[in-house]
Amino acid sequence: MKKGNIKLYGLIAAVMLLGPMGCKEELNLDNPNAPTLAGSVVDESGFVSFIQGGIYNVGFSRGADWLGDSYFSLPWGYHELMADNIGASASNNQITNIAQPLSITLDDASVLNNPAKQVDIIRVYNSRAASGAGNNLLYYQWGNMYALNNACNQILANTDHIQYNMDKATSIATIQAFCYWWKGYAYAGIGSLYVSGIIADDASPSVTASTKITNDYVDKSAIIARSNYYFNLAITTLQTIKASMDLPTYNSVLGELIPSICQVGNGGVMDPDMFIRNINTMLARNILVNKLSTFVNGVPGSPITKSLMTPMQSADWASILTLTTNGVQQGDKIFTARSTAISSNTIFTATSGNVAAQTAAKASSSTFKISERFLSYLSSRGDARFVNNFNTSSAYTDNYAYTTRYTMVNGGTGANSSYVYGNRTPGAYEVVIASSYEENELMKAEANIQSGNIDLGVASIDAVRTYMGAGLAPIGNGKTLAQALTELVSERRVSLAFRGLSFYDNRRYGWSYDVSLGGGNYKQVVIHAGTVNTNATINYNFLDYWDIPADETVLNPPSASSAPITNPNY
Amino acid sequence: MAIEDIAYQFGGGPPVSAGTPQGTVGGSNFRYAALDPRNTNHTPYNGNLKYYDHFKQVFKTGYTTNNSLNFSGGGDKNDFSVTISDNKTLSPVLQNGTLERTNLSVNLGFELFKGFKIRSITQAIYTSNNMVPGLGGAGGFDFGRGQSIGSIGAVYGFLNTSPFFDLTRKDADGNYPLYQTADFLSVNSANPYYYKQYASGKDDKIDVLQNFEADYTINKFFELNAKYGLNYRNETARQTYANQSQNLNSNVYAPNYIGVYASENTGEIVNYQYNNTFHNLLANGYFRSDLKEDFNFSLPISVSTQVGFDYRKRIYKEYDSYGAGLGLYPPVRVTNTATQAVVRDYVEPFITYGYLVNQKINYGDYGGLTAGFRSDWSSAFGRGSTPFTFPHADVFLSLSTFWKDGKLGETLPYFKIRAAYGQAGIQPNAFDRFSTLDPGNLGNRAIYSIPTTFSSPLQNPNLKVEVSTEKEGGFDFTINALKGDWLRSINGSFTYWTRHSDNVIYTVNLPLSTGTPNQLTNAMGMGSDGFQFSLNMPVYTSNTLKWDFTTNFGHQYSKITTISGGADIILTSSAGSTSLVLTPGRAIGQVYGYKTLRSVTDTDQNGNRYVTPGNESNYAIVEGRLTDLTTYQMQFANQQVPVMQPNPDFNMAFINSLGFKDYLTFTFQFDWIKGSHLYNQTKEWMYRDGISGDFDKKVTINGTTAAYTAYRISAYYNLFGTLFGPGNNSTKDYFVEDASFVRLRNVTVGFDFAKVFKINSLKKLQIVFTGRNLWTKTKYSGYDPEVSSGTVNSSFDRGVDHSTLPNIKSYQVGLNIGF
Repeated sequence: MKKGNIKLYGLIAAVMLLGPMGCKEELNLDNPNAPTLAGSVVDESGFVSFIQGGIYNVGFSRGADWLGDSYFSLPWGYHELMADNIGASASNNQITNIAQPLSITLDDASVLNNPAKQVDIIRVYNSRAASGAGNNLLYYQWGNMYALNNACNQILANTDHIQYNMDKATSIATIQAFCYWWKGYAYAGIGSLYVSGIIADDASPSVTASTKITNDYVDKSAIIARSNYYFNLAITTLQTIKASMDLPTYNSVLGELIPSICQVGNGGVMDPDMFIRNINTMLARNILVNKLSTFVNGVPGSPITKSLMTPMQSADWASILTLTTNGVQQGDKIFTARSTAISSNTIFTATSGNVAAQTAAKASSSTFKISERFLSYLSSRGDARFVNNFNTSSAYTDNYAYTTRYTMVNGGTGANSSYVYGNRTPGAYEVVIASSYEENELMKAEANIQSGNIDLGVASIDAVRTYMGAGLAPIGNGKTLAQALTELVSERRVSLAFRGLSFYDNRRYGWSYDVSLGGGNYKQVVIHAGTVNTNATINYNFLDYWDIPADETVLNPPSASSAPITNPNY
Repeated sequence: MAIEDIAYQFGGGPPVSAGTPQGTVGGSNFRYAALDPRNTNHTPYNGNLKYYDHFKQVFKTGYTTNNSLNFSGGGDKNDFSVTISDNKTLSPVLQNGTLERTNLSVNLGFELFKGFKIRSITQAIYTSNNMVPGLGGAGGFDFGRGQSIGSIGAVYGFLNTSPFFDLTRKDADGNYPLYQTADFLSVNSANPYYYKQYASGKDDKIDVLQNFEADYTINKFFELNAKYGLNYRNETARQTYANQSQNLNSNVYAPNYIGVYASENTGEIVNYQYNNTFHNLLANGYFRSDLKEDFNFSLPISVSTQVGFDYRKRIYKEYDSYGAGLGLYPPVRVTNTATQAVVRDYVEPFITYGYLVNQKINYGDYGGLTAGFRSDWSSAFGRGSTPFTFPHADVFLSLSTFWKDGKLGETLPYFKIRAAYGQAGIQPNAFDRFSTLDPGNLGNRAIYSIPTTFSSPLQNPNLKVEVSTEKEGGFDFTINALKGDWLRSINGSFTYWTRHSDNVIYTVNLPLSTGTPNQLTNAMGMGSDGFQFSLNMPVYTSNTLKWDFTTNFGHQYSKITTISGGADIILTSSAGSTSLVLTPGRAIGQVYGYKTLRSVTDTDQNGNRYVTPGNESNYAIVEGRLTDLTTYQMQFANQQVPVMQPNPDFNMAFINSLGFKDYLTFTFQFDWIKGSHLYNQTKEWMYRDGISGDFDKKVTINGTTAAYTAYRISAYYNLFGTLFGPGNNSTKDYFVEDASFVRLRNVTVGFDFAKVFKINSLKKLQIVFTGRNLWTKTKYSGYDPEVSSGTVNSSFDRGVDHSTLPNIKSYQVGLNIGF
């Protein structure tokens, strides 16, 4: 072998051995496409991006690859279906089956029986595989509310190291108040619907952006207590801001936290007092929707013999009266959501992202169809909202609960200037995420009525009707409790529709319970075989509080001391 | 536009009082009316609505033309080859567009001086695709990686359109309707002709591939070889959706339209730009020696040593933007849209490199051993990581060498046994280990979201490399069979193999209360084993006729061995709602579903009887299925169990090749797949609206024979203990079908005129007829037993037929001219 060759081989060997060393620097490739907590959530602008993404996208929109595209279309859709405000005919996510009453007794006393009991369907489909196939309705609200809760936890764990534009302490307090409010909202969404829940507030190891959890499931009352805890924490934080901090900083920061597309109409930046009024309304709701205030077949206070709820007491009504007196006033800004013209930068799409959008189209082909029960509240008394929103251009016939003669008209009929229920034009429809003036005023009305101040109560109902443009004459003084409640339940129904509230009403009125337990919905309009029944009895027999989804309980099996994860009454 | 008031003869709705048949005479436009046991489907149709064959309206004849020209030549020290080819295919789907590919390839080789050779291969490829988005057109996130086909999402829409609608009929406004619905009929319909009218696609792709190779044979011991390749691809896919606001049908359905990002029916333009760059440097040094020859060693040992270095760098870029809101009149440009946005600006660099060492030792012709390892670094793990090192080895023994001169050598002249072992690492994707937030927009602000979805799960900084271990053993042989022209020899080979993958990276679920339900992790182990057997034999060999026959036989079985944490992995099939679950011990691709009950004594998983004792007389067995005599519904269990796995028992190929003299060639290949299964999701959707041909089949219930819609459609709707649809579209063994088939994969006849007519100026003047997939024998009731609608190349997401395109039956005529 020649000497020259040996040198050559030496060179080659050296290149081969050293080659890897020379390349090692190259291996340090970060992901240049995506923001990181450490690299991008550094100043106030980056933090606001993280907060808006966490609350409005992760909490209400993201991963919503189901019917519609947000929390306001499917999870709220289930509420509206179970409330009998709408019907459905599609297979997606079991929307057609999940809210079919167990039986309907028609005017001629013949009985329509549904062999598929709601609780059976729910439990057959409470498996992870069924969730994967989109059939487990227990999955969605639980998933959304804990995603929202986790986003809040991650935000709260990162407030300290941010470079703020203005006063740091006020900026942090404003962000904390905002997160406490949404945590209170998330726990309210769990505790008002599920038999138990998990308290998940620990985000300390935020590397993975997941909340550390326990397997101690606590009863729904403890979850509502946690909701109230965070609502109250938000109030005290806002009181501190008002009393001793920099209000321009508060206004500036809150103005960033609420997306600009949501600062339209009733949505917008609120001062600390107004924010506290929004919270008081939610605290009142937490009491109201989780206790019985029955009104079955026109009888106030009739008993439900088996329920996970206890009846409202006079102290509860007094609390509600106090809270609503300090709750949202007419003209107050509230928390809202809206669509945008293009689907890549919106919370939800204009044509399918909320219950109203899914309903406002030809009844024969729309996903949701307006219910005859809902309409009977409006049509029977000449409410201006009826002709302004509904016509008979298209009907839907299923000869069971969902048959309807009416279509909800997209954008309204233009007959008058009253409230418009649905609008599929981008940006036109306002989703009320939480509190509103009309909800607060109607809770105040109910508390007054139930506390014996009936004239005061009906005046509040009249005020809401005026606000909504109902064009109805005042109810007038001297009504009986039952008469006043009849007005109240109908006004709650029509003015709080499509906001995920009406099922809670059906439940606390006792209507969603089985007739044999004292429940049922009487004197209802049901179209069957072309006949309009006006005195039908609908026996819904729906679960009052939902089981925990298998997606939680299988992956996080309950500890021995946990509260039940299924509803023991069903 | 819409057919109003189509109705079943009898009502719908649940039973009036328990136990009595339900419904109301007078008809109902309620889709559950199909469940009324009085409705039948076998009455001769005498209505005035015409029936349209949508398959004929959609699937047309496509055409392909291929042209290829090749020059080659060279001398002792150099060679060259230039090829120009062009391929043009017209899509058979509505003939909606063409795919054209032009390829120029230049291959040059030189020997610069003795032992030193340089080769350059250059390819330039231009591909153009103007198919319509949704009908095979290009575009979409990650399309530029070249691993997915154009979306055929519009196919589902026509399969779910009632045959009463004419897809080709225009409305009074002169436009095609999108949504051809009639109350409960075809609520999921979408007309592909509407796509063709309003959508257009244009995809231009330029590939430039340059490879250099330098090879230096220094002397008989040493050789150095270096290869460098640069692949560059630039692709732009543009999708245009015209303004649809003048379309009556679009407006009536408030509004219904096609598009990607637009929220209204005023159209949009989406522009996808993709760019791929790939560098690869491969340097190898070899030392080879025959120790006996070179060093007078006493044993016939030859050795070969390879030391190599392998460097790869890949950069993928994507930039997607759109403009929404086009006018009714030109210009149709993004600058003329109402709103514009960038939806993706993405770059993904990935670098990996490593070295490998192989040592080979052979002992004469008797046997040999190779062993080596490969060690790699990767940018997925960053700078500080240690390399992954994986060994491999193989050994063979030529037993026939021992008897080659004996009697056995005459009949078994070749027999070799072999075994191999190897490990390899599969690295995570470029960014799987980096925790990031998902970028997005809300109104006019950038937002950052915690990754929560299945498609964008939480990344995992602790991900390890996937390790695949493979072992195989087998033998190869040649038997001298008959003397004479027939069956002179039989060549065969058999291999048994087993493979195990550990730390397979997949997205698993976390409890929902963590707020992050999806996370990437080293989720599972998978094992598979199988064997392959092939035979090749010259059946007949003479001066005028040559007939070769080859057959291959393969079998394999793959299963999940372990899942980290033990909980099942729930899959989201990209093929619709079919339920797939990965469970330890179960086959990969296992489909879960509800079983048809076959007897009144069937029990659930807890041993409880579905039919309460005493109620047996309410049921009868119809077509082997337990059927309720009141509702006429077949009964299904209400607990999910494994109902199907797609893997075939075996697959075989039979290839015959015949040559007559020097001018006629004839080859044909049959494929036989036995025991494979498909879940016919396409059919299940067609059951939903009662538009499957199965609805004409009669059954006997309560002594009457009729095509009861209630019986047939219950396969779509029912689960035990429920009625009116809770089981809708859930996965049931009813839709599992045997997808075994025998298919004439290929047949080719070639005839060379230059040889027959002795045309001296031409080397070749050959006309070739080729047919593919011309004949298939199967019991599968869908349109092709050989489809999978799941994720392309996924080992899990298989076995589901959901509104996908069938394989194309093709005929081709070619003319080869050689000078």
